[in-house]
Amino acid sequence: MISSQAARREPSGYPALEAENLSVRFGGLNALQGFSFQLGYQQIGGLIGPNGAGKTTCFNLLTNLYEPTEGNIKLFGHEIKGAPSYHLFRWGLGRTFQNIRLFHRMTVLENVMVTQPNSSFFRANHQHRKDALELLDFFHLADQAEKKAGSLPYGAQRRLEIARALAGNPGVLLLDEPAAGMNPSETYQLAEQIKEIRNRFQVSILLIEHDMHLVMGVCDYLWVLNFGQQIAQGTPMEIQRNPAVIEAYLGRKERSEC
Amino acid sequence: MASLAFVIAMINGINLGSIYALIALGYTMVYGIAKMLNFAHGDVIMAGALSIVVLVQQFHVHPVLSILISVILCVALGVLTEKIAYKPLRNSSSLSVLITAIGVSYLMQNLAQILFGSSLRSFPKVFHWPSMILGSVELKMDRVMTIAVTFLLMFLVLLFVYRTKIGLAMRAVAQDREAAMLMGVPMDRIISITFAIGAALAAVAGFFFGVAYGFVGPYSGSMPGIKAFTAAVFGGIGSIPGAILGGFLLGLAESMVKTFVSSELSDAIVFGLLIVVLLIKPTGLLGKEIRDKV
Amino acid sequence: MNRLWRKKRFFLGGLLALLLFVLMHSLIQSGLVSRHIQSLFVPVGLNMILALSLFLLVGMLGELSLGHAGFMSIGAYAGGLFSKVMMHVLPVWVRFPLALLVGALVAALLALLLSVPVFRLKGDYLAIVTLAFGEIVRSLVINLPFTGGAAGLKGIPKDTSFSFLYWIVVFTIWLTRWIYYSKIGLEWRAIRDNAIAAEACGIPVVSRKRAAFVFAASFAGIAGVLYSHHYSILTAEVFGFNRSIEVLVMVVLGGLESATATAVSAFFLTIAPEMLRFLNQYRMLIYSLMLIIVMIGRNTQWAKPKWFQQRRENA
Repeated sequence: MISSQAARREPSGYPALEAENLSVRFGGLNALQGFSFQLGYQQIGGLIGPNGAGKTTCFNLLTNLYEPTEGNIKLFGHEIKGAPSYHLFRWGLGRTFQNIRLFHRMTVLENVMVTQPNSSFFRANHQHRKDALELLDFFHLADQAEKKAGSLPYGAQRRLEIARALAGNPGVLLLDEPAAGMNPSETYQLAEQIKEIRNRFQVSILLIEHDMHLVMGVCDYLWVLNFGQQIAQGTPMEIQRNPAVIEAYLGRKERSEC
Repeated sequence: MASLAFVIAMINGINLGSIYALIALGYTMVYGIAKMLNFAHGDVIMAGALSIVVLVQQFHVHPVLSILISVILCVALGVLTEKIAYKPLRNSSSLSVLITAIGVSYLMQNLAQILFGSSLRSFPKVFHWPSMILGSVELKMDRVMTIAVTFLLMFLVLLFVYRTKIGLAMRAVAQDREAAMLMGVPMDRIISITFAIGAALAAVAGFFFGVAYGFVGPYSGSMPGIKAFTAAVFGGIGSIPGAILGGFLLGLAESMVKTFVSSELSDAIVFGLLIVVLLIKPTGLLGKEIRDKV
Repeated sequence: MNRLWRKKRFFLGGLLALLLFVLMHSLIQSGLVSRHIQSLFVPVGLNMILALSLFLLVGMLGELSLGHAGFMSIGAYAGGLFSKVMMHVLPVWVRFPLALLVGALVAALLALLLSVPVFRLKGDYLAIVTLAFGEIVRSLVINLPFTGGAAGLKGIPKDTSFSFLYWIVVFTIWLTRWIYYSKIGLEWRAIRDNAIAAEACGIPVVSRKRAAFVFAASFAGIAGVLYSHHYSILTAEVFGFNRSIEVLVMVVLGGLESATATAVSAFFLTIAPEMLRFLNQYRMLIYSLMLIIVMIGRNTQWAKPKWFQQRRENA
């Protein structure tokens, strides 16, 4: 079991997040088959692929929402398969959701404070509030701290979801389509923010995304899925030129076009 | 002697069970299609039974006609309550809708009390059917009629849901409301039809309830409603065969417990059984697992 | 909102409660308050405690319990029996607090037992199970020998005093508010808003739900003990389904957002039927109409803010 935060911070020799031969089957459908990857310390990884490729399923497996039929998952070198979902957060794995899942009737500040690792049941103390506001400030949400989370505009809600996950002091952050529904300028800001998050909070990030500008601009390494299987992995440069990837997204190119 | 008591208990149980099954069917259909627990459903039974009493005794309407009028009245009641009280809440949390349904139930009960008084009224002896003698058992014809008509109605409902176009639309809405809407299914009409069918079944159940118990009052619908509600959950809420199965099982259980264990504690034991069943099979006997989309 | 401001509010609130107490106490002593109004103190206080405990479950956690009166009943009988047995054994200042503890613990224990299966279920099952539970309690209470049967349980010492009740109510209001803003209150509300996200954010959902249920039940039990030690006689009908619904109405009409509003709602809904005696036969009718109107109003009147729609999607 992973305990102290100190252990998480140091490069311990283990990859931050690792999956080996991860597979899951729903009825007759192989949603994910034999997927393996290693996310390094403070690395930003991207999981891409056409719709229905199994990306969100992979996230759900990584957070123990689904039980894999095969394979195992290691967080900082420790096996997490079978652990109840809520333990993972305390062990350093945070995530956001594809369709925003905020605590909409609670205030922005409360959304962030509920994930803070205070140990007691009591009312949060002054320091906790300060830390929470500081975090919100980083996401330009501090001035809306007392608003109900559900009343925020879409982009702000997405940022709040990330802030909420970060408040728990994770070592690994899973972002599920963080740029969905954003316009190009918002996406650009998000890309900068993700890099800043990695540097400031010293987290490893794995993101699922369809927006190629974000992916190419932010990720250090990519894994490409199609129909539940990995079809390629590599740096953004390599992936851009990978014929299998191009085919998956665009269909087979005519031989004459090259 | 015990075997005789057993047979009688069985017959009573099936009789009771068929009434519960009719009510449970309405509950489960409304739950499956409108995604709400219509807490006021039980009181429609009371409305049906009470209207027959009033029509026959105060207005001297012919019994058969009064049954028909009662069904029409209940259908109107069901459709109206849906339009006025439930439709505005179609996109609200299930908690809100449930609370509103509780309000509607209370409204109906108290309205009935104000209009018709709180005392029980005796149900008119509508049909004078002879009893059959099978061996040493006296089989009252009204029991047989109850069971026969109930089975017929259930068969008709199943036919409707699985063999007609409207039934197909209903099943589509039950499976995926948004997709059904996108496919052009007229949501309002489908939901109204569902409530109408449920109410009609409840009216018939009300008639048989009156026949079986002999008395009706403004609060008569409450307990059968709660029991049929638990029967529907018992069998798997949202599942039509489940509701029918649950209704019969509950009726049988109640009858058996009343005969062989204790009359006063029968309610407690039956409800206790419900909790035990839910412990073992959380979605009910024939229920389906609801998967949240993450 | 800083520390100093919060401390100020606490003392101000405490001062207000004290002043109110002194005022009411002296009014009673001087005989200026009619018997009629005096007879309302206990129902108001009890309903406030019941409503606040149900608010915890329905308002904060978002789970519907239809058997709250059942826990009140359990507390009333457990505490009442304890006091009867210990009547000549222990002095009142030991016996009564113990009776309260007994009532709370027995209710809590039963809630714990019930919560083991219930929170494994998805959907509206808590409502049904608590409904069934309430009926079971009612049925058992009528039929078991040691609870006095249909005639009821008599002879419970009248230990509930006005002062004691007053300060318990004040404490309950304060406690509920405090819980609302505490870590566990935040977690409960998070579960209410989005249980899946809550789980992903490190909140042990099932165990928190159980905790809320047990806690709410124990307070209902305490209300029950207070009840039985005031009226001295217990009959089963008092704690039926109607009672559960009346408390639910108070909680819902209080808005489901604030503890104070819930307490105020309980206050008004207790005295209103008395003040409007002439409408008595229409009382339940008016309640049900109000319930429907308020629920529809809450959900449709003004332009639905985005979060209402989200709620349905995530429900």
